[in-house]
Amino acid sequence: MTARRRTPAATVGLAAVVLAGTLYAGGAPVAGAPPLGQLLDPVSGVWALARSATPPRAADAAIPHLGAPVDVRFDDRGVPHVFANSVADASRAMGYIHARDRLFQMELQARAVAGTLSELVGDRALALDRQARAQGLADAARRGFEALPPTSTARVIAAAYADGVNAYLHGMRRADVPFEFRLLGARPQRWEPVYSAYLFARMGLTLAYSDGELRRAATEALVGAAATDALFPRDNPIQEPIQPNGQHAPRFDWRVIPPPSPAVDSARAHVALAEIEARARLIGALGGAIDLGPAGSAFRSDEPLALPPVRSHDDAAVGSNNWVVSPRRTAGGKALLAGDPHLSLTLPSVWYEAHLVVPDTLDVYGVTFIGTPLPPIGFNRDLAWTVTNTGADVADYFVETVDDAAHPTRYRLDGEWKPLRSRVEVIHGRGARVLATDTIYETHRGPMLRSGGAWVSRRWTVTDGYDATAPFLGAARAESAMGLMQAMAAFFAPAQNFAVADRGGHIAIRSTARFPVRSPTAPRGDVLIDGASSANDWRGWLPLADYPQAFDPPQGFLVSANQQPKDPRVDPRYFGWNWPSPWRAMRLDAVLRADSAVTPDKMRRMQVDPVSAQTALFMPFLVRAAREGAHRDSTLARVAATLEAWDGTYRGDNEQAVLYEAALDELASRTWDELRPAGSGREARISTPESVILLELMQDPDNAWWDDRSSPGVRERRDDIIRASLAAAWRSVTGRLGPPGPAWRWGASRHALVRHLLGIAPLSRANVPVTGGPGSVSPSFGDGNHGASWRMVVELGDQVRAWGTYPGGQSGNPASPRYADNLGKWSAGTLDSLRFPRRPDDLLPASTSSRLAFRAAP
Amino acid sequence: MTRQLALRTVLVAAAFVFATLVSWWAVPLAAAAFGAMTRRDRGGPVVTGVAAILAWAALLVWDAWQGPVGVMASTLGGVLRMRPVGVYGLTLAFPGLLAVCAAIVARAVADMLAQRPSPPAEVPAHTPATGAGLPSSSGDSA
Repeated sequence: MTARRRTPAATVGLAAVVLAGTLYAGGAPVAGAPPLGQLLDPVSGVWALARSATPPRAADAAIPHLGAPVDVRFDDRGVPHVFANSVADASRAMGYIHARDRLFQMELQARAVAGTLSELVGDRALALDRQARAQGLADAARRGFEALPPTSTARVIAAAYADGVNAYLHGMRRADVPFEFRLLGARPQRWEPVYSAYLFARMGLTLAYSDGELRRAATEALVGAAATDALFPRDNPIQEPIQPNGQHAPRFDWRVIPPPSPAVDSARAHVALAEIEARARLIGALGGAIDLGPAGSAFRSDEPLALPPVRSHDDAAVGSNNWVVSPRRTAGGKALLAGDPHLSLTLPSVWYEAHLVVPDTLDVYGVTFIGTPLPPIGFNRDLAWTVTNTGADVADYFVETVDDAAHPTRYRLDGEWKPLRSRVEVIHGRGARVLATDTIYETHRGPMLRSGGAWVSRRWTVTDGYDATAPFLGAARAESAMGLMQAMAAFFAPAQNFAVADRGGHIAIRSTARFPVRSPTAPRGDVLIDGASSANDWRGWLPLADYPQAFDPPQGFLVSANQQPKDPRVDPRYFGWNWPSPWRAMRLDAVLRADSAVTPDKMRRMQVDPVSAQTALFMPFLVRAAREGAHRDSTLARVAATLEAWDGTYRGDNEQAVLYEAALDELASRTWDELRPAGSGREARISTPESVILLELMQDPDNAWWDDRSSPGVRERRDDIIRASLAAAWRSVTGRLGPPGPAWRWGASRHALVRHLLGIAPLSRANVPVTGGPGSVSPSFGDGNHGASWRMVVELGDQVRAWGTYPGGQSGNPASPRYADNLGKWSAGTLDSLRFPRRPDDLLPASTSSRLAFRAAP
Repeated sequence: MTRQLALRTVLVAAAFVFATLVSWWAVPLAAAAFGAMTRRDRGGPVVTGVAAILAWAALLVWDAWQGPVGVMASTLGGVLRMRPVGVYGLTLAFPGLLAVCAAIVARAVADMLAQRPSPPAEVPAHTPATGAGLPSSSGDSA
């Protein structure tokens, strides 16, 4: 080598500065970017995730407290078949497997409930953490969990599961740290058994949270109590209940909707709207994807949270269905079950498929929640079961009188001051920095929150603390439909409609949870209750015999689709209110009534049926109004011609549905203008009645609700508003998509959005084609982020046969071929055949992708 | 000469591979060591930088051999708002920059240490001012 001259000082100085900067950027986040060294290192950085994208063909691991070796075979769909000698060992194995495949999801979900997201993602999550702490879910789950005996099923299984998770964490190499942790510059935390209870609490939040009473109170301030009662009624005007009522068709109980009263207190409604919407957005984020940045943007840890949009005119964001058919109505003479629970669509999915086998004890296949080992939906050798959300009212709000509005210490009860229980919540950010200190107050009913300037406390079954594991273990081990129902009798929350079919040919359904019996002095749960009297408190629980339920009904099938469970003529007691429009139940019932030779493939096709029962009821009004105006207005003539050409389906190639949906949006916006507080935006309604209420109003062409407030001096009637809506819809659609043609295809305008848990665009999947519209069996609405989270069809013959899929994949590693491998099939509405081996060797080598053997840690 | 340089670059790259097995921050440490050891060579830092790039390129090839590195590049590119090729570039530039700068700084420090006269109290009367184990500072400027 050639000898050199001394390096100039300036060069050395520059090199030193660049070195210092590069080292800093390598080890610490800069301007929101993750630490580059940990990220780019090809040995243990993100590149290493490519190496672990596919698990090794064979591997082994040690787990503490394992009673006997566990053999796990992963099939060609990446589904683990866990062969263990005890339920606890199977749980340990599942903990390890969940951690290996979904570690970041586990931690994110647990932190969302605990209100410690800020420690992971920084200050941006502060609002979410404050909301989570205020909801008190983690506090309640922990108290409930610790109140259980150490030998209870919940605690034994949770502890075993934690053994497995922590065994994985203990042996985890730097190269295996999930992608999201690397972006955040964070490390996974140890898993505590109580986190399993958090996960059930989170499902309670997702499925049974209700702020309806607060919304309703604000609505009353705008339009009066009578109108509010009619717009958000106790009983749905179309009765097609879960528990068959002996009718062979839906019953229409149309009522007259009272006119809106002059605004009682618009300002109060305005304030309440802001409070309610802010809270609803946070709750929505806690239950689904926690979006850390605007969609499509790069990941920057200093960007604000992108909270879910507030729904403006869609029906309630529900869509779950299940139905069972008795052997006498199936082509194969075997009972059939289908289920598709609808939730926020995330990547990774909320579900993880697994099959657990413990000889003579357990042989269950299903989808598990990340954070718990047992499937809440699945099948065994004798039966299959699945759930939809009941939506019963299991939360009441009590207006409390406190001694100090700003810093209360006591509340008034039965003429005495009672001390408030207070809990100080310290919320930390990254690096243990204190971000906020909140004091949460609780009455004997539950945590208090501010609403419209008042303190209200909430009594909610989800925060009662309960063992959610034992019922699911009982379900997994049940041998008959009746046995499953007995096992699920102890199920506490959130209320679910359990449908079950067994090999004996029995079918059953029951809305299951603890349902409060309300006081005679406060019989309604849909209004705010006076908290000053303990006489208004809940009095106990509804007896099991009074639950909505049916066993082997004469009609030979049972359907639930979130509709009102019981016909009020059968049981007039209060069970809930503002039930979702029953379009899906109507369609499913109609198809099943007409078919006495149902097959598994027909069940599959029904899950993505493109027909909406809603359209047949609305269309005559729309077409007639358009036709009547067509001679004066060429736009209406074109609208009428377009709608008349529609077959009422939401197939991807349909070119008329887009106009119908735009028309309904316009119609809702123009009709419910009285529900906008003065000074609010066009879509800022305090609440929006279900579309079935709009249909009810359609029956009354002169109702005062048709009047458009923005045209004083003119009294509009129904058809005036319909025509205005249709013309506006036409202008809107043609303005957006041009003249009718291929651009109007439904498939081009409606897609699913499967959002990554942190909202990271490259890890999300947008524009996923879907079949179906807002009222069809597989509803698609809003931004497409809600849909069938799992689809399953099971045939209960001598050999149980099952098919299923979900919109995602088993792995949380974005480099894995199993990150989103099921999405295409889900989008197409096809299902995989599910492998159900009795023994490890039943899974042939060609069907086995990898093996994992567990042994006891020394 | 060229062959010798290539061989040396490969050897240094191999050392960087081992350093990276420890962690990314071992790259500048190794580069600093090479910089100090080769302080008399004019192209020392460049060789160090090139070797670091080669080392990480080899490791990336190893990753690609075992898994879908391209998917990772696309994903990370989406996150960092750059094309996948930019992610590869950043991944290779990062160790190169660390190594070159660390080598330059280490060489300058080594120069300074070599220039500094030994404390008189510790130097025996019969010992020359430039110790046998230390390179001559005059050699640097020849």
